[in-house]
Amino acid sequence: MRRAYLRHEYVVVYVVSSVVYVAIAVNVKFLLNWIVGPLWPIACMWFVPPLVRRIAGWDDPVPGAARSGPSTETAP
Amino acid sequence: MSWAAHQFEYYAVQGHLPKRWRGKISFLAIVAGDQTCDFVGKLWSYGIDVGGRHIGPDDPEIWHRGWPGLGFSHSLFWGFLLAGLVYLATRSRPWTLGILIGVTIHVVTDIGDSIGTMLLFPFSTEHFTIGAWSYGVTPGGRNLDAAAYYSSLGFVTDVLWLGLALTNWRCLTLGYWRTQIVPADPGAWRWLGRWLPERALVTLYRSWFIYGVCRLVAWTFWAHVIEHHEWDLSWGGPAWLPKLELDHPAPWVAGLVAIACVAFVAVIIDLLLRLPERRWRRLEEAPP
Repeated sequence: MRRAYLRHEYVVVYVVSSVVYVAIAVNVKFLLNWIVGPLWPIACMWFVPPLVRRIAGWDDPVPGAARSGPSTETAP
Repeated sequence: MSWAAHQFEYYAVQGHLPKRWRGKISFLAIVAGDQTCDFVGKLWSYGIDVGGRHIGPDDPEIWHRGWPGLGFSHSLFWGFLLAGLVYLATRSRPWTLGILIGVTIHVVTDIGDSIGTMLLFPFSTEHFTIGAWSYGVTPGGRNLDAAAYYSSLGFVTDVLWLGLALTNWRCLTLGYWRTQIVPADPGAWRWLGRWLPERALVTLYRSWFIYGVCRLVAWTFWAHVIEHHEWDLSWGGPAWLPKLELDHPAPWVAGLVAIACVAFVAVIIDLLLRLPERRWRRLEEAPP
């Protein structure tokens, strides 16, 4: 479970956040605007993974993954 | 006008940039340039209802796409104007060229509806349109516009742009973002990275794609499952929407002019990429 989640964390968060967004937005169509729309997945990806890991008691899988900015290995 | 097509086109263009352009165009600038068109042009187009009274432009299509009005925001002129201002303000090559590309793809995509865009403004105020679907910005509001668009060939256009973006799905990967997107615009990503972790940064890059998919699914579901609007995939549909169109639409001419505009912008970008480096601010000098 832990391994599968961590391996597909991006996909899981994107799919779940998108389903939730669509389900709410078809009823509250104001949310389908170009500000809330792109911000929603960013907010989910920012806050949900640390929350899930904290609740499940899982360690950060990649050392330094939670730090700010692009990865220093590839960023110029 | 187009809906989710405008989100997918960022990735379709980014994923199919000519080899010699790669790593030299800012993705964020493409997004910003693309969004300025409707940010300026659609302001006030739908109007608002106050106390049962509609307040807004008498002819939204003229206000949004015509002249006099804000239709200049849907022309190549707008792209060159913005790119020129960005160059003067920043001397950033990735942003100057990105803005120009963003505006160009937006105004060319929007020739699909029945009102089209003034591609050649200010030399001509002629609207170029292929009239594939009915223009829907009316006092009926955003919901009617969306229902009409997602019942017509507009829906097909969104799906085609999605398919085109996915033909190079690798442009959505973390590796692509790290090796192509960030190096092309290190200053902006580094600045954003002062607040956001990497997973949020890469999600920012993908966010318009995710939003586009959600938008396509949500509006289509709402229009056809909840509201039961009728599909009409005929040319110029949907027939149930009062149609706003030009007196003498010439789809073939519009198509040829749009192709010529894209080719012209491509030549200009190619020439600008050949300018000596000293004309531009070096990437290393980007703000930290």
